[in-house]
Amino acid sequence: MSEDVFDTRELRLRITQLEYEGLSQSEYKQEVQRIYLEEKGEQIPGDIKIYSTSESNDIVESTGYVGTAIHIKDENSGLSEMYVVSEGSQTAADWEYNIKGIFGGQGASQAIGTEEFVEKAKSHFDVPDSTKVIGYSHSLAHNNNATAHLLYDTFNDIYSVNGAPLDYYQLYKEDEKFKKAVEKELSVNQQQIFDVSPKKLEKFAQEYYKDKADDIHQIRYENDPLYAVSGTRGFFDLGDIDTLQSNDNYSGLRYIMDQIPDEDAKELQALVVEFSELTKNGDMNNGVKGLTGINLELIDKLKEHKVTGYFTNQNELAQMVKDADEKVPRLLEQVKKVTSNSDFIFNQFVEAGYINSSQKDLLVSELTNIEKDLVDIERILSDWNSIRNSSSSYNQSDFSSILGSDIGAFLALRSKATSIIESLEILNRDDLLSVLEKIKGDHDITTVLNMLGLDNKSYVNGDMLLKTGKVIINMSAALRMYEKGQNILDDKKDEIKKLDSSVEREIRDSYQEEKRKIKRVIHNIEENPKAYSYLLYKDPFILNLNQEIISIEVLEEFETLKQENIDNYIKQLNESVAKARKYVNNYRNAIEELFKEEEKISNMFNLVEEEST
Amino acid sequence: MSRTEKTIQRREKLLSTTDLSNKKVILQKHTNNINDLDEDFFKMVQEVVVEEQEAEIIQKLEDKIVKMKKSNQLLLEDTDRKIAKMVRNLHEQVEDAKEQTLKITYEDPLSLETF
Repeated sequence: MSEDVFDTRELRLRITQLEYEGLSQSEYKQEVQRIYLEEKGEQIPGDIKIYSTSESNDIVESTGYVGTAIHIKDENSGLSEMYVVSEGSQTAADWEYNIKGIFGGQGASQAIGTEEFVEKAKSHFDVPDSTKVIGYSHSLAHNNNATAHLLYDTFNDIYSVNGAPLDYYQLYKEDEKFKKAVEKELSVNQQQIFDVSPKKLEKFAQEYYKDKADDIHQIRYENDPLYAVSGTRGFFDLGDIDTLQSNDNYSGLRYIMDQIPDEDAKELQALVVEFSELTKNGDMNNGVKGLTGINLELIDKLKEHKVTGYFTNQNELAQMVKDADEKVPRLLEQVKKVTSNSDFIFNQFVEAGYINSSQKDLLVSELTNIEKDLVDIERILSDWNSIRNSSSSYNQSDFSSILGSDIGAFLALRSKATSIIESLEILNRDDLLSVLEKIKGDHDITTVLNMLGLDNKSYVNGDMLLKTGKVIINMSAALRMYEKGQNILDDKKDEIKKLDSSVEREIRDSYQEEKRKIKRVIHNIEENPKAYSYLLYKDPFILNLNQEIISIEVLEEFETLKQENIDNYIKQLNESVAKARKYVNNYRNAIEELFKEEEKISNMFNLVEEEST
Repeated sequence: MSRTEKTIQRREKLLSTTDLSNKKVILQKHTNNINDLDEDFFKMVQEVVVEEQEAEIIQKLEDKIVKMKKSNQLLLEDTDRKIAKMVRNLHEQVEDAKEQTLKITYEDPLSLETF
């Protein structure tokens, strides 16, 4: 089979990144064309059509899968290729799927959605079966694409970057044949599956699916946080993997996580992910409510209007106590797993250069404070429950004691929850957030693009930068300036024309209009002089009121509009457009001169020029 | 008895003052739009060079764009001033035109000829 149209790592990665840009279909198409032009110096060899899950909402709703299909077709050469770019973790639902689905080995709805979408896209584009289908994915999407491929043979090839690995527990649940093979070959049943050695299952899965391995190609940055937490049981690699080594001062995030016991790592990760999602709009109260069930706003209402607040919010209060009862013990268990090893866990981060020792001390001390507050909350809930259970609301004195204990318990809960927020706010410091930003950045596609070791190319915010000597040019911006800059100058020319005609209308025409209004009044006065008798009596020498107007003649005097000319300014504005056009061309020549060794640069400018005309 | 016709002349403002200040707003909307387009253009140009050292050709282009930006700004400021002046002139001339000389002929009973 011939080479794919997108045949370089840069092209694949840049197209994969598009899925995160929130583009309309026409913008998506333009971006695909732009990226191809920048990377290859030529037009994409076929017509492009785009189809996205936004057109088939049922898939998104029923499976949570989001993706875009790109069909490239050329009748003359017989080219027909379909690329499916699956979206990685974007929403809270995606992360929930990550935790429950992938990390928990439960469900594969997004992989099923992948297969459904590919079939829908094929039918939408009306492509023949011979059309090559290539999957692109980053993060969670690799698990979706690769799982779909193992289950349904969805793709010819899959190219992924920093992907969430395949999970043999997830496949055991979803792939009936694999399940039977596992049970037969390893002599286990469903209840015993978690007792099988992970190494044994991993090896078995890799052997079982080895025929599909040739279709799966991955690039992975060794400091990718997703890779770092993917050493837990369940995950396995399939296909070829190009691992990029770290070349900065940070290293071994995977090594750190491998040192941390599976369970603790999972708890730490689950806590971080859940809390980030709950507080992503900056609302700490929401974070505390989500994690502990304690609703601070509700308690505040109670504090302000003690008795009325208590009676009017009974249902919400009861729900809050129920939520807290359920959530706090689980959270406390998670936090304890982290705090009991916090010195060790965070020391690993210190040794790898992510944080310094005082930042580590701060993390350990605030996590310990949070644990202490959670223990207190658990005790308050337990004491409060025992008072409630030992009293009966039918008895007046019991009722008073319940009311008193309820209000007291709510206020105590409030104080503890506020203390947790204070600890979280301390942890929310810029220096610690920048560590998180750095770790998060190592998961990004652009980080990987810049680690590919390309001679004179680098990337920033979806743009391609080229280096020559000591000069770095943003080639994407240069082409934008050449193409869209000309459009802006066209718009400026139009606006100058509008200004010119507005001056004509608003000044010259307006004067004529005002003159017409005055003439209408003059005409009216001359036609109906008697209606204007009052004008006569405005004369101080006419004292009697019996005079009768016979006629009024207006001795019209209208001067020609004396206006300075704006033409000179219009001329200068037009000249500024001409100068800018000349400047853009000079810039193009300068860039071509700087990169004279590369013929494709000149070609790129010619092609964007052709497109814009 | 016969009546006497008399004629007087007086200057009268035939229409009340018109507020023409919106003309300035309408015209300066165009210069504002031109300014926005200039800003978009210059922003686009400034994104091109990420880093430059010892590249005379680029340095010249960068110097040129600074001058162009300044010159475009001054031109738009001058144009705005010109627009303001034109609207002021228009207002004055419209108000002048509203004042006209009226020749009023009337019969004056006080001038009855009595014998």
